[in-house]
Amino acid sequence: MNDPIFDKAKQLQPIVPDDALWSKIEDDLIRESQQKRKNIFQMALAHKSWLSVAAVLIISFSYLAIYFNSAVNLDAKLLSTRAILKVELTEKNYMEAIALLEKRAENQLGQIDNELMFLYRDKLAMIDTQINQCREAISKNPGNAHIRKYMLAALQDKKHTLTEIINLEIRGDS
Amino acid sequence: MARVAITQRQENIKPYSEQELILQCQAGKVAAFKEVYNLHSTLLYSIAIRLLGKKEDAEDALQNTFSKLFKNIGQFRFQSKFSSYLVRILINGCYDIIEKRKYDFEPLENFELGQANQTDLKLSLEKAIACLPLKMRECFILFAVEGFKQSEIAEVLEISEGTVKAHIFQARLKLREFLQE
Repeated sequence: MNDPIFDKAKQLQPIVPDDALWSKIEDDLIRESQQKRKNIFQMALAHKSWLSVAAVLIISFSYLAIYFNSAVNLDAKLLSTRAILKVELTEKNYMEAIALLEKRAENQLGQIDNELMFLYRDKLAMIDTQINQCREAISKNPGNAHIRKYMLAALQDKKHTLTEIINLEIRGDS
Repeated sequence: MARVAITQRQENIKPYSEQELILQCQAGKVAAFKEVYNLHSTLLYSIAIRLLGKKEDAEDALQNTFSKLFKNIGQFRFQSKFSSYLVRILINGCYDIIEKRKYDFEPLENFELGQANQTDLKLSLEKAIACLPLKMRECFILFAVEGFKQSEIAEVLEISEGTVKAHIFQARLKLREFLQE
């Protein structure tokens, strides 16, 4: 656009602000900056109360969770200890009963038919092997319910077999 | 605009690119704002005083511009020229001042330019520009005095390029009339 007005307009001088103006602006910016920081701090404070509540809730829930979990574990531990004691007592009773029965059955075994005697001896030896294996496994893992169950079954079987031998003899006497 | 950059950079040349400078401003460093002031204050002040006619108002406009810049610099996304962004803030600030003070522009009495250094024709032109309607004045100052492209003016003033062209054309006609009188 070739126009003398544009040519003259291009030559108009730039107007420089007073030197003091920057100081005013700088003061403004510093004030703004402080206000900004203050706002951030206030915001943090406002959120702080919520954060505290959240922290308290989390800690409380964690504590309750740990407490209940440990209580359940403790109960489980107590129950298993009690159950083992009970099983061991039953086993002890069986062993005592079996010891008594063995004495009576041993006396009688020599008097019954040889073939029958060998059959019973084999069966008793088999049961004893089973009992010994269970005892060995229990010494390594006393809380294993399956082994305890096999052990009790074996003891029951031995008691039953010995009772059977004694009863056979009684029937032979009569 | 280039003229401003050259005169302003003479004293405060720092190893910052404009982008680095803006990033420093976004980090809230007041020193970076001073550098922005050194680079752009003459351009902004020249526009403000030619739009508002009063030194105090132009200073207020510049002060408000930097205050708004400080608050909103984080939103600058490098999608427009930084100088255009600054000028847009300044002109919006000028509108606020005009709205708030509700004064009719009285350029002939209040024009506070560096008259002493200007020839009679330049002074007459300054006064004639000050008599233009606001939008026409904005477009003419940005285009003819400060060397903005018409597309940049359209972006700054948020009007179409066609409207900018029309304002400049009308301004030229009016100025010719004023100067002939």
